[in-house]
Amino acid sequence: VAKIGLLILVMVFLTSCSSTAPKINQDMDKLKDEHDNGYMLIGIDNSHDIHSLRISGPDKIKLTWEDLEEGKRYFLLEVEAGHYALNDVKFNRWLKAKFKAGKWNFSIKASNVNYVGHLDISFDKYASISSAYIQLENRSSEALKYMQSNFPNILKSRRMIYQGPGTDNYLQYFEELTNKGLIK
Amino acid sequence: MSYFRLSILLFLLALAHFTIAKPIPIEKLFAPPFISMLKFSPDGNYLSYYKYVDGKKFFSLIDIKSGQTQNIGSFSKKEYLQSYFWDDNDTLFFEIKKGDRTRYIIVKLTAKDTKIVAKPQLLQASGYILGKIEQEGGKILFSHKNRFNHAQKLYLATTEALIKNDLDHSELLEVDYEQSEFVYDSHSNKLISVTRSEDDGSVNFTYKDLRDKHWKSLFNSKDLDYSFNPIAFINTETMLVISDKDTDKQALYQFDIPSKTLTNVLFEHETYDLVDADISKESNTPSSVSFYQHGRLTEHFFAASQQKEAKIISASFPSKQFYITQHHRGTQQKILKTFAADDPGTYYLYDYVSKKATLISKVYPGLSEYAMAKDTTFTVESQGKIKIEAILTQPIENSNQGLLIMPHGGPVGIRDNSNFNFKVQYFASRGFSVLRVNFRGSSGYGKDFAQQGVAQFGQAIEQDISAAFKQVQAKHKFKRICTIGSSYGGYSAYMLAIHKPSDIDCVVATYGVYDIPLLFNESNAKTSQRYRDFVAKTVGNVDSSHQQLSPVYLAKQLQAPSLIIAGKEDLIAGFEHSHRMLFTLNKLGKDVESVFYQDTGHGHDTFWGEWHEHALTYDYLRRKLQLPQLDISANSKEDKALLAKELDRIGDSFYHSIRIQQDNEKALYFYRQAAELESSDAMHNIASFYLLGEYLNKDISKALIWYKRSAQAGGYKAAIYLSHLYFEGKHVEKNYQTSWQYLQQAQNIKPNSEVDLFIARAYCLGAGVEQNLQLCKQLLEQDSSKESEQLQQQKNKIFGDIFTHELSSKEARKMIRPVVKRQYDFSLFPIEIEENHYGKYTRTDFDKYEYSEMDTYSIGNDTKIGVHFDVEPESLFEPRGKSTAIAFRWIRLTSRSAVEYGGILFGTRYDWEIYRTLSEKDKTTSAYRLELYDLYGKQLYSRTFNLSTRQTPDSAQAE
Repeated sequence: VAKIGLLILVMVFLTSCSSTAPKINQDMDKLKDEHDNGYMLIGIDNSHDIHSLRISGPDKIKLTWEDLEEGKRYFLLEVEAGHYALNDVKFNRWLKAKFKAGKWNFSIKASNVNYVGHLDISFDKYASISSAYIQLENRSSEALKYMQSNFPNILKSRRMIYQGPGTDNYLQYFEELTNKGLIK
Repeated sequence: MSYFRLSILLFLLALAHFTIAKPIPIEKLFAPPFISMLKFSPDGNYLSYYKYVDGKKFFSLIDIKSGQTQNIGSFSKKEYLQSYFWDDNDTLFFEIKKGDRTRYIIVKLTAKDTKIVAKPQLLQASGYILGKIEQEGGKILFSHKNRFNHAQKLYLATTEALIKNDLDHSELLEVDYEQSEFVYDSHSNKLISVTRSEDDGSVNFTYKDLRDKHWKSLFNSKDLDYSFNPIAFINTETMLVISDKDTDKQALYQFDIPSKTLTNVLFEHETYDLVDADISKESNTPSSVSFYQHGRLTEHFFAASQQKEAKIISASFPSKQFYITQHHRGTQQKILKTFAADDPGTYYLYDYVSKKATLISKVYPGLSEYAMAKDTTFTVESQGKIKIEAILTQPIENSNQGLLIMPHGGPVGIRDNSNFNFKVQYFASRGFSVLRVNFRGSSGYGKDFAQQGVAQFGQAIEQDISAAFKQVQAKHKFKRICTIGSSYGGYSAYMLAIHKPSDIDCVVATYGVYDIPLLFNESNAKTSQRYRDFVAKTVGNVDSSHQQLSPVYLAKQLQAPSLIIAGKEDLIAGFEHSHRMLFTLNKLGKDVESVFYQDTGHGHDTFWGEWHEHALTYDYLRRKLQLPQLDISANSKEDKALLAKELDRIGDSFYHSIRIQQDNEKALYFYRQAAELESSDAMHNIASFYLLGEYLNKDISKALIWYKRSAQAGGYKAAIYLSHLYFEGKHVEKNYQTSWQYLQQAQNIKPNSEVDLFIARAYCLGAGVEQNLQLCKQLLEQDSSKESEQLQQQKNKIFGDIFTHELSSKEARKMIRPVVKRQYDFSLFPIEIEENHYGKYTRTDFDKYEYSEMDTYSIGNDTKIGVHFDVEPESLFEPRGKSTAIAFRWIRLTSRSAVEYGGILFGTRYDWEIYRTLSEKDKTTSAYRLELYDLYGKQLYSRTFNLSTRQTPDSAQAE
């Protein structure tokens, strides 16, 4: 079980509200601010319903239980470019895990589709939350396939870049294959 | 010089002498061993063992004097015997795993007449047993962990205390809050603790005499830059350790505990690493060491007497490897296991004094009839004049001229050997030769050799494999060559095909690494320096050249077709490797196939997974290499059925398993192959494809042909279904006699309670057979206490038919009424039906609904039609609240109308409701009619619901 800088807290008070960046559902490339904004693509897999997830940065992002029912999905959001960090995840109304600084950060570059990784959250709701498995994983090829299937127009006019943990040239390599006309 | 040979006697099972090379059914090969975990009782009078027969698990004893065997206990399907030990001559402790739980059972043995009776008792105490402490009066050292604070306590407890969970009155020896693991060494009476550091992952070993208060440091893994494998305590200050600190090979060292230094080398082999060592219990000195010599397990004994004994055994079992698994010092009896590359193993009871070896059993007696492939170990010189050992396994007969190059995983610290290998034998039995190479980096050949494999992904390692391949190919000239490997082997399988496009005809890569940089960047956990350092020990430090050594980035050069197999939960070679490779190859237009298993990590942990993966891989190889169908002419009838089942099982997995992505085309492909091998189940499934119009165009006549083929081939399901079709006149002309014939056929194939119900109905109604109400009643009155819910529903339907069918008679109803009354407990009195609502049934709230009357009802999303009614007693004097019953049936009106469903309903006076959901299959239905009857046969109610079908009347006629 990987636990990377998670601080489990029992909530006494509800945290203050966050504003939420708009989720993009239609394949139309319309950034509100071409110079300052970019697309954030994040995948989330959770084995049980989750109350909420907060991401902090120039834009405050909050995904709620309506977004985070048990399952797998992507979120494509338009956000202001800059440094972001996963802030905390609430498993239920009372229990949340706070992501410690350092391992859960990523940057958003303006004008690009920034794939920031897949947040994999597995936990047994009857066991201790401290045994939860939470990782930010690199699933670039799955993310690319998702974009090709669901947002081909946005992908046509934007570079998709990897901004998740570590470094990865796969998306760049795929772009080169495409530019060389090798992709069928 | 010749040696005496052992006198080898037969004991339990006769040896099979006649073997034939033929395909081995996968279920026989990948299966639990028939016999395992053999131990002597303390007095040496009995041999105990775990036995697996036809899916059932037993614990058995052999009386050594008489040779008689007795099962003394069995285990349920979900229970697994993890370990056991003899407490005394009459008592055994079992550690049993069931799901995630491990429990201990103590078994008392008593002799009764000529039999031994076992009385099991569950230990109520939860925890694990570390050992029986002879020096403490035979008390049990028991570890118990507190669920809440995770404190681990070690107790010295009596058996009785463990049975009663009376740990509070047992002696507490130790309390641990460090999540340590404890091991008890009975030889030295020492307790050893192993604690892993959360911070740096290092492992700290400490020890103490059982009753000492203070722990003494043994060693810490972070202080070591060499291997350190403790073997045994020789005395309080000295241990035997296998290490490579000052030697190139893993050698036997003496370890001075106070100074924590490896003092002197006791034995080092000039070529091979040691894998194990043993000590003499009498003298407390090393007695033997073992190593793999040319892939074969070899034991070197230090004492001349033991050397002589080993030579006698070796001469008695030529070409076999062997070792002693147990030694009973009192009787001088030993348990000897022999095995070889072409032999999964045999256990013998070996009498040291009389030099007699008596056969106990083969480990896999079911494999005795097959001629296994033999292997040859050879040496090849690779680049840099380095000598590499490789193993070539060739089928005895029926070679398909194909070679599978099978690199092992790792690549550093893993090796192949000449033991019996199930995977290799599977492919060899299907005609393939298999080449395995202990390339540089492999374990067993010393530190320097292993180190030479580090940072050699796709480089020197592939050169070694290529050198071995070149030598083999020059001699054998194989016509078809594929690479196949797992983990690093999957990577290597691709790299060999990329480097040798003219040689390699196909690639099977499983659970592989295909993007080296991704190893360092798979997740935020894997970007830590600690993890990267760990990976670098095999791959080398992060380097820009890694990309050009990765199959993903070389994909455009690949010419051979490939199959990628992966587990979606693989934490070693993350699933992204496989997905990335597949995605890239697909986008480049390459010939690539994939199978991705759900809930599977870096390989399978179930036999189903092994069966599925291997059978699927063989099918892939056969297709890509254009090999003919498997020749099974020499196989038995039982084998043929198992081989058909292999294919049918894969078909099922693609049709409805949740473990892989569903694919009807593939399901049908495998069903058709299984049907060619006379699988009645596969034929039934093909029939269903035609009937339902799934993937294939709906074709009732073809469906019927396949159902009939299936029934003819012994298919129970098909026989029952055909009987049903002819009884109802569904898709065929109604014919009670034909229906009865299929029922008889089904009963002959598989007599059971379900078919008895249909036979009962036929007797009651006289449908295709002379009416026999007594027999009908008898069959319906059979004990129903153990009936499944499904069978109870079926029985309800049969009851319904007896009261509503066109052949229903007054006599039959009279005979069966009491049976139904007993089953459902209701009263019978004259009744009338009062309709309240009918029409389309819509739920409007949690507990609210409404019925909408319509001229026609359209098939839509979950459309339901039905009736809400009350059941009124005809007589006003009938007391209210009395339960009664009615029979109902839905008739589907098409060009050939048939009863769709029926049964018995029971309840009190008000709020009866009956409805059905319209589905896609109703597109050829013109209407449904609901009929209600009392149990005297009087029709009480009838309502027809016309459907607005989307089909023309002509298409409805076609049915």
